[in-house]
Amino acid sequence: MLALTRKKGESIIINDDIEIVILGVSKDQVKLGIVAPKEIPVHRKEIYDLIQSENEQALNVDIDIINSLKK
Amino acid sequence: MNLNTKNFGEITFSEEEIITFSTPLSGLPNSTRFIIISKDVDLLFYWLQSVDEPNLCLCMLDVFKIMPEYNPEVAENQVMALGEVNFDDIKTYNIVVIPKDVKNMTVNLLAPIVVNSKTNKGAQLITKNDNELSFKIFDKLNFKEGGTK
Repeated sequence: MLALTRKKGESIIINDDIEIVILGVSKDQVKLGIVAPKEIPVHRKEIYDLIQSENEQALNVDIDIINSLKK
Repeated sequence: MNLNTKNFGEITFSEEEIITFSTPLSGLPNSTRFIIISKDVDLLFYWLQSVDEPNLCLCMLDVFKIMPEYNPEVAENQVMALGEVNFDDIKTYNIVVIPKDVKNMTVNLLAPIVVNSKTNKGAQLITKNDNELSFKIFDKLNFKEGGTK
């Protein structure tokens, strides 16, 4: 993992088109500003992980169950 | 075009039916092209069948038809990324998880699949308002005899 030290107001650039700005730092919290093209989704990791796990579970749907619901 | 699928056997579809996602669905890599199979539309179920991975197929519900009060709020720019927005062209589906006991079926209201049927672009968008990730929906589907034949 690349580790960089930044101060408030400074930023990093990823791939020419994504900028992450350090907006503020207080105790154990960092406030980030993210400037990215509109098609790039940006999420909190914990929500992303939940959705990922839900998608993986959805993959195992047995089509016979849906067929049995008919009628 | 033909595809030999796990759930539906050999299916035929046209190029125009393909919905393209800019990134694979989270947790389901290697596929950005899908078609929507609506053979179970009478039950409000749809199937999101990958064109790239024949074994990748997700079950979805049209939640708007079941719960008209469902109101997913998504970032405007994320919908705009699917192309010019005309409200009538935007279709929303919700991915279903069905465990062994079908009555525990849940639907993902937090992150719907949003499709612009004019541009055939799709995305799984995360809603900004308070929507459940695993909403128990079976009782709202009104199957006879608790669901099974």
